[in-house]
Amino acid sequence: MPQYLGANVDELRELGRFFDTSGQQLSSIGSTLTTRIMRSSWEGPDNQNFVTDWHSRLNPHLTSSANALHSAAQLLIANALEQEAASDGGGSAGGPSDGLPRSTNPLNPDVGDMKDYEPFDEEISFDPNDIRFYGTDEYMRPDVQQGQLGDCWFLSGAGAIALYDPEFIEEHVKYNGDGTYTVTMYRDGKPVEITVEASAPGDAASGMRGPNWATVYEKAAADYYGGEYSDLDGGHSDDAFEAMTGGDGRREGELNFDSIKDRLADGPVAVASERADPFLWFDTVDEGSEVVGNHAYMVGGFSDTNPETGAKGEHILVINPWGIGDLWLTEQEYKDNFSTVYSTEMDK
Amino acid sequence: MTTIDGPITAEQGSQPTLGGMRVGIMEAATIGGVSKAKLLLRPESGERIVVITAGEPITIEGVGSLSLDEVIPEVEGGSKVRVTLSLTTPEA
Repeated sequence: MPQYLGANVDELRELGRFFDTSGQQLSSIGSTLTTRIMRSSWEGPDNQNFVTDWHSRLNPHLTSSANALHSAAQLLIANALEQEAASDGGGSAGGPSDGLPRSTNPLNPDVGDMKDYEPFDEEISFDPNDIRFYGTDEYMRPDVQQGQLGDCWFLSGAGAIALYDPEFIEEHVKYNGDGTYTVTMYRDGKPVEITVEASAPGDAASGMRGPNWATVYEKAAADYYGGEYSDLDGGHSDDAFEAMTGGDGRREGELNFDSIKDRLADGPVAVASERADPFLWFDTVDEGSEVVGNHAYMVGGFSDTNPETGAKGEHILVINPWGIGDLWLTEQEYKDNFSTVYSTEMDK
Repeated sequence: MTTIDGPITAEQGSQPTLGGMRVGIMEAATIGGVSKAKLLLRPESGERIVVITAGEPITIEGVGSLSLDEVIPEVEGGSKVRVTLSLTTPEA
């Protein structure tokens, strides 16, 4: 009877993701329990003993278990990649050039639930003036329109970089003259070249006039983060900064305008909104706030007045990666809606 | 009633396209057995924010009838809340 060695790569990768998600869920349970315990109205020495036991013994067990699941997930995915590399005979053109294992089809990440690939015009402009253009008379915005994926975190990171230094985008995406583009990203600070074909799923990110630099970057990122477009669903813009620039991404909680200005002086900045309370609009059919909850925006700058309404007082411009829905907010409005600031330092 | 596009399932915070119209998913929830979604619609006739209820399609001029088929709850520590939308020709 022949001996079978190896694994079904897709199953192994899926198992790795399941382990990772399970680890996240365990971490989340730990946070929820901690919150519930701290909010409890239970008072007295028994409560103090319980809280001490929770923090010193019980919760560390949960954290340790969650970490073990994340480590196991990484091991499973590494094995899947190794298996792929073995099946490919060492890889094919277009994969990372740093010796990392390659995906089975690195030129075209799996589209998952998205509409199928459609070829687009290879002659995309990477002119900085096309990357960063005037959306209105008042300010510049990057030409980005998010599509079906939940990758606002990546596109806001990319858009913030494009706003800060559009030539960076031009320098990191090269057309190869053969229907492919090579995008330079970074893993652990080291460059990784990813080559993709001039095609994209029907509902990928694009620009105002169709597929553009954001389409190419998103496709490369899908390969970078695991080989499927769905690997981009959910994330944080500091990770996008690190993957795109090789520098250290920074994730901070609520900051005031002065602190955000400091970050913006040194590099690109993105911010994330809080999850809105659905009860506020659910029964009243109230349109309510125009801020999209649980969503990443680019920071476009500051103004002494709201250029759209003329309202006096300092306002921050937050730019929606949807290509619409940019907002000028006072510091209080900003603080009422946003809770996280992402930044990195870059040289121009 | 003929399907023009969809059904399509996408996360809150994303902006899928249905029948050539971008649909930004601002919020979604199911409360008391009723599912609703707050959407930023971008038809050629002009963008607008609407709140759509499952089982109560809305007609968008020049585009079709937009339905909220389902709201899939978020998975804590996993995916965000998701919605399934479809676009059909309006009923006569």
